[in-house]
Amino acid sequence: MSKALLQVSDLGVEIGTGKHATRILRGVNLEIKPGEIRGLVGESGGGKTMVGKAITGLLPSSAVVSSGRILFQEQNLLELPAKNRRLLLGTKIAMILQQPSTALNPVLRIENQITDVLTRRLGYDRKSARDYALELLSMVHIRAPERVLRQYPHELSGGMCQRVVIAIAFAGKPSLIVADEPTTALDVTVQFEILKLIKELQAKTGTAVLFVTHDLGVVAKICDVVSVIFAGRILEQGRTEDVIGRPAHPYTQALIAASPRLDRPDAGLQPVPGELTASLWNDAVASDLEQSHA
Amino acid sequence: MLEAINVSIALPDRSQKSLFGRAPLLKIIQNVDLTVQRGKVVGIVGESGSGKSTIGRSLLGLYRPVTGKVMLEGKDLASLSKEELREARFKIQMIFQDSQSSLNPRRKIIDILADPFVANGRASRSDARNKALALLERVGMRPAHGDRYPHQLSGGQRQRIGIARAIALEPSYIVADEIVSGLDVSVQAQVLALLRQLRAENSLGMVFISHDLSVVRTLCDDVVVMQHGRVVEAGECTRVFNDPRNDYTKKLLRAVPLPVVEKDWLDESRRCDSEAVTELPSAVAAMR
Amino acid sequence: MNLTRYVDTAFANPKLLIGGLGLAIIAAIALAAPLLPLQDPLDQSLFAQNLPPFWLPGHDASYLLGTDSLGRDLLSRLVWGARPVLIVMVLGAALSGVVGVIVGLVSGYLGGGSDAVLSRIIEVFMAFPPMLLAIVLVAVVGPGLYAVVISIALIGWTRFARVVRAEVLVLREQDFITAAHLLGYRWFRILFQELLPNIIPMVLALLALEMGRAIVVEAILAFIGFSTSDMATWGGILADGRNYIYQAWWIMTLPIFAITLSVLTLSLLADGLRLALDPVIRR
Repeated sequence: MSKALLQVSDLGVEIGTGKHATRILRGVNLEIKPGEIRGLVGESGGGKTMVGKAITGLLPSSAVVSSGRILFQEQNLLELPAKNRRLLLGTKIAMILQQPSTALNPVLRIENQITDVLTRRLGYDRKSARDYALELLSMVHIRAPERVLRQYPHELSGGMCQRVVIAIAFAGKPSLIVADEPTTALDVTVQFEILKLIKELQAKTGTAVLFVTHDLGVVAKICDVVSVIFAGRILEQGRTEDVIGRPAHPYTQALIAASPRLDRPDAGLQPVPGELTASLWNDAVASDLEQSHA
Repeated sequence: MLEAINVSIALPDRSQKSLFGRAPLLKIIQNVDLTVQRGKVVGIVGESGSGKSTIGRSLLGLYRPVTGKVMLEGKDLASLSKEELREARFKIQMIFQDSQSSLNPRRKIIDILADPFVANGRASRSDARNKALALLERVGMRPAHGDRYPHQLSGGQRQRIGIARAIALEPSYIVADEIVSGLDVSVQAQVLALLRQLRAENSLGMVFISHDLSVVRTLCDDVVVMQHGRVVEAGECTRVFNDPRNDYTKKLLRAVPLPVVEKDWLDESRRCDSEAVTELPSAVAAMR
Repeated sequence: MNLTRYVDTAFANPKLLIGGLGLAIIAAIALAAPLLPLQDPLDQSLFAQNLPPFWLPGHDASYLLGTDSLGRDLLSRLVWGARPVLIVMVLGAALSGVVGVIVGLVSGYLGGGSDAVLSRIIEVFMAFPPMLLAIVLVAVVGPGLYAVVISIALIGWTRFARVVRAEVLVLREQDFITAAHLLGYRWFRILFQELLPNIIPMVLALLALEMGRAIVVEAILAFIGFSTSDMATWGGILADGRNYIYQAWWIMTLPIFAITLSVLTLSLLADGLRLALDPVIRR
């Protein structure tokens, strides 16, 4: 087996300080190998977005990393000076966000948005940056790249914007892309196209992807391996066919039972038992207390 | 029976409004037919800009159709006087997508639920309060929740309040517009279970608008598929989902990712053809 | 809610605390002026002209903040000057607020033709230079405090009307208003139960700002002699001091200080109110 590209171990994140601190992540362990798509699936408030933010160094200012390491290419990102970390973002680590419309600057033409990244981060000059921008847009299958370069984000559909964001993400040939709910805001047919595009580019470039989502269906279709997160803890992880097909943890089982099923209308929509989530939260809080006593 | 017969709706296009004069009208939906029987759930599916929300609101008499009519138990909504429409609306209520903006942020939950009775002279203040408490219980919430403000509840809880308010005046029909789209699957399952239960108890006729085909499949009896403001396919859920006849319906169904591992799902070869990735015609884009 | 929680809330919002206290102090001074052991603010003394305040050489112990060119006690004039300020700012802001909120609510809620007409009227009033309006008004009804109050309201209501209208336009499209229509609520319930409570916080903040503006407008009108001449006013002191700026700079400086401090206090209060009354920001 190849060595891990990214290894998150015992990652703890808190919001606020002192007695008002709330734990968001409680000792998260996560590993991504080069070239694989790792799903991170969970419900809102579970901490899945926070993991992505901790890796990219975009945690909100109120959040504090209280424990753990994030090894990326054998370098602990948490010990890196802020400046070096920023340099890593956009080159070796890239991001795709949920709302493509807010990821792009509304007052700049697409051309400027792409070439800015290319000239500032990746050392292109203006002329070659434009050529590469065109190349990138054709890479994400935009038919009329010349025209799209002249347009503003609001003139493009959500799917088109997301293609542009993906083009920018892949521009620096990153080793890792953190995609946070990249298709949640899109229509289902557009989602299909975007998933296909991410998979295609990922296979072509060998980039690893951390795919953060709430949608088990999407996980089943695009991820090689998956981790299930709840209350800031990873409950189960493994190969997608194992976790989705033969879930071991009761929470994963409940989550699958709660999802509506197009293929089996009589199954699905089983509410997650309240006792289950309550006991999971109790476990989590109990582990906090243990830790604070230790 | 609640019916839309050949309904077309056009709304003023504010982006095209000149300094003087009115904004030009833009057709949002065209020639839509829809029938809801009491005790049945009709799903409306479609992607953004398909006009599915507009048809939902026109069933409530919120838009006046340019062609066709909306009939409630045999009466054309457009023919009613303002006062008659007010009365007729007690029979059709709505549950909204955004539970935050659908509840007045400055009123307590108990008041929000008591107001419908007080405003229409159906109960005294104290009586209305008791009725509101009963509503809370019906949607599975505790009396203590009544003293909270909307922002102090979770999204799922707020959506329950939205449902409670919609059933307060005991309507015959309910239009539910994307009411579970912002919710986690576990909460979504609870809200849908509640909806099923209420429908059975009151033999409600329901219009369930959603972009999520899986939810529609599990909840609805009939389904209407919309694209670009038109109905492209309609029929019983079982028939439409098992044997879709329209190409767009087929495409929609294929694109839904089921929680089943399928290695070649994204493969090009299994698709009828890869979509040409160009922008939509501007007329369609303007509908968004 | 108990006392400690009030104290906690107050310290969590220092702007509200300072602004509120400041306003209370201005009001207290104005109301208590007759009870304070002060000289008559209108009493002239030819032997005590342009005396400096206590920290400068040549001061007189019986005139704590010095005197003006007619030998009137400045401390007493400043304190008594708070009375017209209080009248003008409360009445002026209240009148602006009432007119503006009603116009804004009606205009925003009704929309269509009435909104177009009301909006044009607002624009006409805003296009008029405010000082000119005030001067014309004083020329018609004669100088005095009530002329000042009316001219403040004539200008001030447009600010309320515009902001309230914009807010109502946004609120009107919210689902809870649609729900109210569907539930058969009549217009007065929608206007006063659903809409009004949602704009009150903003109106209160605007009131505080408007009170600050009223102080400035009163000072300017008093400065050009259009306010009352029966009372000491801060603007009046300013006007007197202007001629002696080189010999007795404190005459002009003291009222400027009072005006600036009051306006600042009210701005803080406006900010604090906005924070305190927002149900989502507040926890």
